Amino acid sequence: MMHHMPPFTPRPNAQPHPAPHVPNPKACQAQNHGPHTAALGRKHRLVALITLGLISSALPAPYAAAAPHGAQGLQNPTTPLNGTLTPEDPLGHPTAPTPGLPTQPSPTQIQPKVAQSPIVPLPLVGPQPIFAPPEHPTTQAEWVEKGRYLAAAADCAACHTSTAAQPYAGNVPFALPIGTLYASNITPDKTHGIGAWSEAQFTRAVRQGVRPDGATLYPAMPYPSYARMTDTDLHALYVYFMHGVQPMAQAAKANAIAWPLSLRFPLTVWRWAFAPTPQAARKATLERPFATPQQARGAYLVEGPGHCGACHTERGLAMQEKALTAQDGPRYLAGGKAIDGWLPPSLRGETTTGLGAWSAAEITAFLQTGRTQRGSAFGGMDTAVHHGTQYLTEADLAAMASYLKTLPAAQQQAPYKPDQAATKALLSGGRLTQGQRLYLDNCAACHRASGAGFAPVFPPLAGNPVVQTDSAESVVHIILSGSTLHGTQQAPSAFTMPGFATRLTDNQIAILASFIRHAWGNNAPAVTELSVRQLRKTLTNTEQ
Amino acid sequence: MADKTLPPVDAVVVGAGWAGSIMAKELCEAGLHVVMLERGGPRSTAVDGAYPNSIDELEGAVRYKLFQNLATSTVTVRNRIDEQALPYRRLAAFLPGEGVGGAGLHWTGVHFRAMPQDLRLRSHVIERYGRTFIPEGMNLQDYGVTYAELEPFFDRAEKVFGTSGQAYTVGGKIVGNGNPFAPDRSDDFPLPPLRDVYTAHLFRNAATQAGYHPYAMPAANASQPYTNPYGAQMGPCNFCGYCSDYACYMSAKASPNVNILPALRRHENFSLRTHAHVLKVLLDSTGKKATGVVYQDAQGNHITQPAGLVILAAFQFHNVHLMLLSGIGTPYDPQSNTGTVGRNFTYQNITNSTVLMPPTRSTDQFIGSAGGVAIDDFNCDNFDHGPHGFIGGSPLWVNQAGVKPIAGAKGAITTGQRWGSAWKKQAIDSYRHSFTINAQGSNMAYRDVYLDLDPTWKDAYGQPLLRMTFDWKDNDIRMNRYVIGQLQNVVKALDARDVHYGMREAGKPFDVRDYQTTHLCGGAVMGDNPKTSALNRYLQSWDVPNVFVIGANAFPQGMGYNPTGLVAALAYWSAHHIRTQWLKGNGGPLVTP
Repeated sequence: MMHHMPPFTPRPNAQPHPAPHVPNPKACQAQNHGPHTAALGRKHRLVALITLGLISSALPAPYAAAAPHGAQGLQNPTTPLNGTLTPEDPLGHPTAPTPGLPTQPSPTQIQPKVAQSPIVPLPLVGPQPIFAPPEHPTTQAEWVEKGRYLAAAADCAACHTSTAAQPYAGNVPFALPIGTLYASNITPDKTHGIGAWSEAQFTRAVRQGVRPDGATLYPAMPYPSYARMTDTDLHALYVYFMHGVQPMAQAAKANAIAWPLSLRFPLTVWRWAFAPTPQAARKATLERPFATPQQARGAYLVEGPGHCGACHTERGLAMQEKALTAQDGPRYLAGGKAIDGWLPPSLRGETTTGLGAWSAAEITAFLQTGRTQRGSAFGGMDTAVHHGTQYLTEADLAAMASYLKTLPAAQQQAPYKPDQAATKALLSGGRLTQGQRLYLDNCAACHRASGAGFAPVFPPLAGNPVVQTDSAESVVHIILSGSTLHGTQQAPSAFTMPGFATRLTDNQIAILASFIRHAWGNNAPAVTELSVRQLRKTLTNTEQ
Repeated sequence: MADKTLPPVDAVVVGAGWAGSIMAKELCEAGLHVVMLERGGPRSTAVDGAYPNSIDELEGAVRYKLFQNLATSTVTVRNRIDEQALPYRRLAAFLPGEGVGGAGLHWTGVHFRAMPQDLRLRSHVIERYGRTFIPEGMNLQDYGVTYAELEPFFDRAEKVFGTSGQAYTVGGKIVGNGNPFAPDRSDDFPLPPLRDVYTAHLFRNAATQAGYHPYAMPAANASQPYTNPYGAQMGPCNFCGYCSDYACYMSAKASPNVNILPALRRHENFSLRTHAHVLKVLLDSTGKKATGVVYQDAQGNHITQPAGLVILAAFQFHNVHLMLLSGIGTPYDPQSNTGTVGRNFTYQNITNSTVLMPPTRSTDQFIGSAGGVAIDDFNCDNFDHGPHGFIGGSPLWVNQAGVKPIAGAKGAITTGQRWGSAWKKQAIDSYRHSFTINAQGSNMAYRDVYLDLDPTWKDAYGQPLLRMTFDWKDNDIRMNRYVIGQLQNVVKALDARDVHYGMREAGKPFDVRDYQTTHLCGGAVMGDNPKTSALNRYLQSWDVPNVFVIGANAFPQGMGYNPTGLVAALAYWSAHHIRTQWLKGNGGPLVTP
């Protein structure tokens, strides 16, 4: 049914101008006055201009007398034909009257007084307010809403949703040193999901990591954190997963973990050793004294459903989090080892690599929108904001922030001190080091010579904690593969940093990352080519 | 292939550019279930503007990545009624966009309002100069909407676009050295003006010396990071010069993709379908009511999408084309000067003059933005036209949008052969020391300049191509030459080494081989009289009242300013009346003829 344009054939009556196939370059030259190909007049044109100017200046009649002023009785002037001089023709009066002619109204004379529209436009609709979960649900619908909120607070989707089309149907892969784990289907499908589970079985799995069949879950499921969750919250979560989520008949992929690590019984041992009982966990978090109810609420969200420590607390040899609450000492949330090549930084009060310089309001905004004047979320944290924290109420986010601000620095650091040297060098136009050149050619357009970026759209590199962590995985990773900051409810714009893996060599990235980590007052160890090569290899393998 | 009919929706919006995105957003806010159809593919700043691959002149400005694919569909062009029109097979004179964002993704970002006189030009000319001042054959018309009525919507568009500019008056009080000819404003620009580049600074000084009134051009290039009322965020312009023809990697140039779609996509009652080429608007048996649209999808299926409201928001001439293909309104007949669809087709009357500065002055043409410095002393009716006997005018400006390497070499001012070391030397000299001043003028509507369906040529979908009959007319040629004459006063103050004045020549026809502007206008214009306009003052079809046609097609004549600011304001204006009146009524005409 497709019709195509008839082939081009010249027609006898066709006029020559439109759509030529092969424009005559000479003809084009003569006519090319477009902005793309602005061509200056050739000598003969200038000669013509001057000659015509001379002729016209010799014309005695003043231009104003050539045509009657005013509207009444005015005839349309005759067409200026080629070569005919008319009063309007610029070639006719090189000594054109200067502005300020009596006939020219002054701008202010024609200025209308005030713009007043009889119409009041409808208000523009900005970002929609975040839904507030019912505090004391009574109906099933209200329990579902509360559960939906808790599922966001617990960031269930980050691990259990692989595509937006199949929420909570599982199969998100986790590449671990021991092999690959696949998250399970937690939709209410009775065969493939958790539809057949009782509330008691559900609660036990979430808080204690024990499946209905008695097997222990891999601790990728953060049940040592969820153990702290209240009975009310668990009930809401159960009602939500049973009644607020679509069942998906998708089988979970088998975990690719080799024997003997595939055996489940060591996990049980692990659980006995490292996972707290729900009673103990709730006592540790909920019955601890706090200066304010806000901090208490924040502690519950961070240590409990938010399971921030799953990434931001270092793990021991057995993959156990070295601390589960603020009470467990300064290792809690002091920064974890890289996950998928992204390094979770410290959330404690360190001045250069932690949140020491961030205000509670900035932390709140970061969790809500993924972006602040001090930095933007990327990698794993973008996922956490995208699936989780953006949906929390501002009060809850502020509570989390106020609690995080109570965590003292795990190590004392000198405060970040801005240093203009790198900026001056980059702006000097003089002889630059290779790192400076690479930065100018690849990064400075958005992050600027000053490293200040244009926050919140382009985050600063100067003084940004994630740039200055001891270990450089995140910086190298984002240079290699780029990252997207998703839009959120309150900040719908997504921003993507492109990857430079195909543009820069390992050596160049090492030099560039070392420059960034040491410029503008940043003070972090240099990056080796070897570490870039290893990370590139890991990322390539993961992608394959 | 499987043809099918989909479940009905409340509104279908044809085109995912500025007009379509604004209309879809407004209708979604009103609670309507909206489907937006885009014949091109998906586009985003993240992908199409990924730095540094996006700043590729060959891909962007030579191979026209973001533009309409003329191999599938184009227009035919002729200068006069007695000629055979031929297809426009190679992009040159005008560059319509394709894909999500439309021309709004590849535009430069010059963002003007309209002059009050331009919106009621016929009435204004008659009041000031008398009826006989209008030449025979000119279809001079009013928009049917006033500046005061549109002001809140101009303001809204600027806030959504994150427009940088310098106001002259706000609420009747002078607030700064903006354009003194500009009409009053209810609020300032959301962002301060972009800084003058060096050449704009030269022009500002020279224009001041000549006694004119230079001002910073309003630009939808953010001068600072900006968050618009939808919550959409923009980075600031860094003057890289990759605006026109490119997706801005800084997210600094306003586009539907950056400024509206992030918020629009969050509406659950919104969906966007790409590779959906709308073939026609479907009408019921009375021909007075649209029932939806039929489009061809990427697989070649013909899909019928029923809808209660149809918004045509494609590019100017595509809107006219769809009206003609669908039988909405009466096609224009130039012989009798009757009928409205295709009538008052206009363009923009731009010529470019180039100044070569002494070797001691580097013009740094690689720098660019949508900003610049302009004078309005010869725009619109800001000067007495009485002695000159033409209607219309031109702003004059230095709008340095960044000259890239290929354009720089192609446009170099050289003499003799265009190759070899002598040419190279001249080309380098020219690139380093020249700059361009544009006279971007109005273009009036004429009885024998119009759009209709081509009797010969068909597109890839088997539908007749749209035919343009267009030529430059005496009134507009003389206007241009007069304004260029005044430009000499500015150039005199420039200390230039050489200058070439680009201007219209009588007898030299419209030539599609040279890029001019993409500011095509009219063809389905708005107005108060159903005999001379296809649309009423709310951009509603006089003939099919559940069809609204949004775009520069509604301009009765071409103005000196760039059209996007007026298109956006008209879109918000129309949407406002759909929401507050049409949706609350019986779906009938908002204006009784």
